[in-house]
Amino acid sequence: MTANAIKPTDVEIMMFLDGELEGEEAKVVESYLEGNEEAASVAASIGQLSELVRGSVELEADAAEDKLAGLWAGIDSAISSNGVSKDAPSVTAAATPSVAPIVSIQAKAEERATEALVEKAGWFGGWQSHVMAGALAAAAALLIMYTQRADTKAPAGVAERQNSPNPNGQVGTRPNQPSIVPVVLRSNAPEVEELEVYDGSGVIMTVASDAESDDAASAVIWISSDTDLVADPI
Amino acid sequence: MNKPLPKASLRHDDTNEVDEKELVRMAKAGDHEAFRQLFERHNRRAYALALGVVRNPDDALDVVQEGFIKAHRYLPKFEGTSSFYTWLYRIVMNLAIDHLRKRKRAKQVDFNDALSHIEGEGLVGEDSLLPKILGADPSKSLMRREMREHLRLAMGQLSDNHRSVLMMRELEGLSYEEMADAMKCSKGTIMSRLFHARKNMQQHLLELMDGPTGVAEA
Repeated sequence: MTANAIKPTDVEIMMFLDGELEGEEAKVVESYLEGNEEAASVAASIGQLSELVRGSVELEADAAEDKLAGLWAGIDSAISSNGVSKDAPSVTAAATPSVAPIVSIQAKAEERATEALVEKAGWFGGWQSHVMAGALAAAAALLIMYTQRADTKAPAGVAERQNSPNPNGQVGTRPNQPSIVPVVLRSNAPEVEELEVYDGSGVIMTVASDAESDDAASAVIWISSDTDLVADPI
Repeated sequence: MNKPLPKASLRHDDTNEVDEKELVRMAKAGDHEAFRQLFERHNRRAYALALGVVRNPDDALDVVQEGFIKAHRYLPKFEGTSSFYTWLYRIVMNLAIDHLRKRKRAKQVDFNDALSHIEGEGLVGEDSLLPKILGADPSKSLMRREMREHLRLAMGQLSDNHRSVLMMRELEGLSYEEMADAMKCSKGTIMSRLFHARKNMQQHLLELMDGPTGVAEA
């Protein structure tokens, strides 16, 4: 492109205005614009459009200032859940030189003791639901066995003491002494199975009936959630 | 008289660059307050860019929020070779473009890109920009609510690619090469898109102001 021979295209004018032309090319377009009213008008329209677009979007952005300020809460919440500590030093705190704290031996010992307690509490917290599930399942089993035993001739209970007389017709090894007899389980042993459930633990406890002619069994299913989720626990 | 256009007013101001590097360093170390300050500095520019591309205020807010969350997540990978905002705007721009893709709006096809641009040749005839159509003073024009509405509608009528490139140029003052890098296309395609974005904006504004065959305002 030479200064006098070739009229720059609108694209070249645009590129010149966008700063995309250099050296001789830029000089040619610049001198042409100075001497040609129509080309200068095209250049002016590009400049006006730029200002309008920029101004229009800026005004729209200004109108959203309140909403933008409210965005931080959501961002803060999201980045906090990414595992970044909120206790990190603040901008102002970082500017202040830090002084290492003097910690006494006693304070350190107390700190270690506290940490141990927290650790144990943490262990219990982690297994709390399992322990509770087991305890409740055992209680439920005892209740079932108790109710089933109530129907039989034997005394109610998991086991019973059989006070049978000794060969001498006495009860006990010595006269007037209560006999010591083996404890015999009258009930069938409960069958305990673990149940895999979503986000929790489960136990199935099955107790067969004592009655010889009765094949029926009673079962207790206990499910506990590791979390506080109520809806859709399984 | 006619000089290259000044850089966009929203372009990053380098006066606080040192301070900003310190904020970035502290944010990388896990300082929430430092990151909050970076958010305060750049949320408006990021929003303007996102809004310019997606055209919906609520969507633009979502893009900005996601942009800052993503920036925080990848902050350890930010090497500081560019300014924080240059890095951030790329994230926001990518999210805005992704948003447009997901939205799958029925938009006009950018056939102009393929037909009009031939490397090394000028664009003539219908590929000419319109001479002065918008009056003498753009800032006064913007004071009119009607004009702002026209601009909003005209920008909404641009294709996604045309609008994206126009926003990058007018709001961020990016070079053709920077835009080509951001949009993963050639400089020639960027030049063509930008030219037709401006031309279409002029045409849409003209139609909105005066009707399809209206007379341009002097």
